[in-house]
Amino acid sequence: MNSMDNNNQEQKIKNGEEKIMNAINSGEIKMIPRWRFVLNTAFMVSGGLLIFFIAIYLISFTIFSAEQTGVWFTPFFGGIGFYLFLKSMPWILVVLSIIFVIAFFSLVKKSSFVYEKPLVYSLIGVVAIVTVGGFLILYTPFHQEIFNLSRHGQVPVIGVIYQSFGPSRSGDIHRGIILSTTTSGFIFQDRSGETSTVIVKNTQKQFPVIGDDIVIFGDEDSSGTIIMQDFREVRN
Amino acid sequence: MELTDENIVKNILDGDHEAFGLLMSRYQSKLEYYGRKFISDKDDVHDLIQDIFIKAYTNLRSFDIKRNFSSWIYSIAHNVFVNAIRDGAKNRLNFSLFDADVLFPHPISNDNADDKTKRDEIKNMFDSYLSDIVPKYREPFVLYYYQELEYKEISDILKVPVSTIASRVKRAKELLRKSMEKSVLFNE
Repeated sequence: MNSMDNNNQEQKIKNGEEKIMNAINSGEIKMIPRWRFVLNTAFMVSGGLLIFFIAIYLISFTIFSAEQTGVWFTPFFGGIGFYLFLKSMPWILVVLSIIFVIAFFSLVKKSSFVYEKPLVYSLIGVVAIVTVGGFLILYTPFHQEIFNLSRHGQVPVIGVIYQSFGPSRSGDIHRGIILSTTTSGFIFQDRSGETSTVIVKNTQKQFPVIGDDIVIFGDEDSSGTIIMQDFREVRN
Repeated sequence: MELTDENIVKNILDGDHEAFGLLMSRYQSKLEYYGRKFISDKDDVHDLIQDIFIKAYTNLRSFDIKRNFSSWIYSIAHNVFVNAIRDGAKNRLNFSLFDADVLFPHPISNDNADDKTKRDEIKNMFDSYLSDIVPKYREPFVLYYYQELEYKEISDILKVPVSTIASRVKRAKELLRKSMEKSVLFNE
C-alpha cells in the first residue's frame, strides 16, 4: 500500500514537472525581461531616496520652524518652558517626519546591509543619518532663503507652509530683534516684521542690547504689549 | 564534473530552457521536505512547489549569478509557504509579522560548527517533535539541520541577522529537548 502511495506521489511530481516544462516550451510561462527588474530597482531606489530627502527636509523644517517661533529654546526657561515646548511644538511636522523615517526604514530593511545587523542598530543608524542630515540643512541658509522669499509672496505653494509655521507666535513665547530701548523695556520686532512694546519685569540677567536676537518668555496683553518674565539670547 | 546550480541558471538564461528541468529535479525533494515541516497535506505542498518553480523561472533574470542559487530559491519557497499558511484556513500556523528577537544582538552560539554526523544525530533525535515548536523556531532549525544550509544562507532567506538565526536554532533545540523529555515522562 505504501509503495503504491509512493509511486502515485512520484507520478504526481513527474507530471507537475512535465506540466511546467511544457508550459515553458509552449511560451505559456515566460521569464520577466531584465529591464523590468532594472526599472523596478530604479523605482525603488528613486522612491527610497525621495523618502529619505523628504524625511531630512521635514526634520530640518520642524527644527527651523520651532526656532523661528522660539519654541525650540523654551526648555531653557525651566519647567514651565518645557511644558510650553511640549504644548507648542509643531507636532504635525514631527509626526510627518516620523512617518517618513519609518517609511524609509521599511524600504531599506529588506536590504542585506540592514537585516544582517540587529534591527535596533539599523534603526538607530537610520534615525542618526536622517537627523544629522536634517541638522546639516539647518546650518545652510536654505530654509531662511525660502522663508524670506515666501514673505514677499515669491514662493508659490511651499511659501504658504513657511508662512503658516514660520512666524506665528506660540502663546507666551516670542522671538525677534530689539529695535530700540524704552524707559520700561524695549521695542521688539518679531520674525514676521510685527513690532511690540516689551515691558521688562525684574530680571537678574544682563539686559539685552539693540540688535540682539532674543526669545522672550512672557504674556502679551490685548494691546500687544508683552510683559517679559525671562529672555534668552539666540546665538546665530 | 557536475554543473553548479549557478552554471545551470547561466545556461537557461543563454537559451537552454530544458536545463530548468535539472534544477527542478535537484530541488523537488528538498523543497518538499522543507514544505512538509509546515504543511501537512502532501497535495498542497506539491501545488505550492509548482508555484515556487514557476516563480523561480519567471523571475530568473533577477537572480545574480554571483550569488547562491539555493538561498535564492529558498527565499521564494519561504515566501510562498508563509503566504499559503497565512492565507489558508488549513494548517494555520502562527507566523508573526514582527519579532522582538531581531531587535537586539545575540551572542553567536558555539553550535555554529555542527558537523554532518552531529547534524544527522540531532535531526533524527528530534524529528517527531518538530510539530511541537512554533514555526519561528522550527523554520531555521529545519533549514539548518534538514536542508543543511549555513547560518548566513538562512539569514539571507529569512532576512534576519545571523546572530538571531543562531539564537533561534539554539532555542529550537532547547524547546525540542523539553518536548522530548515531556513525552518520555508521559509515556512512562
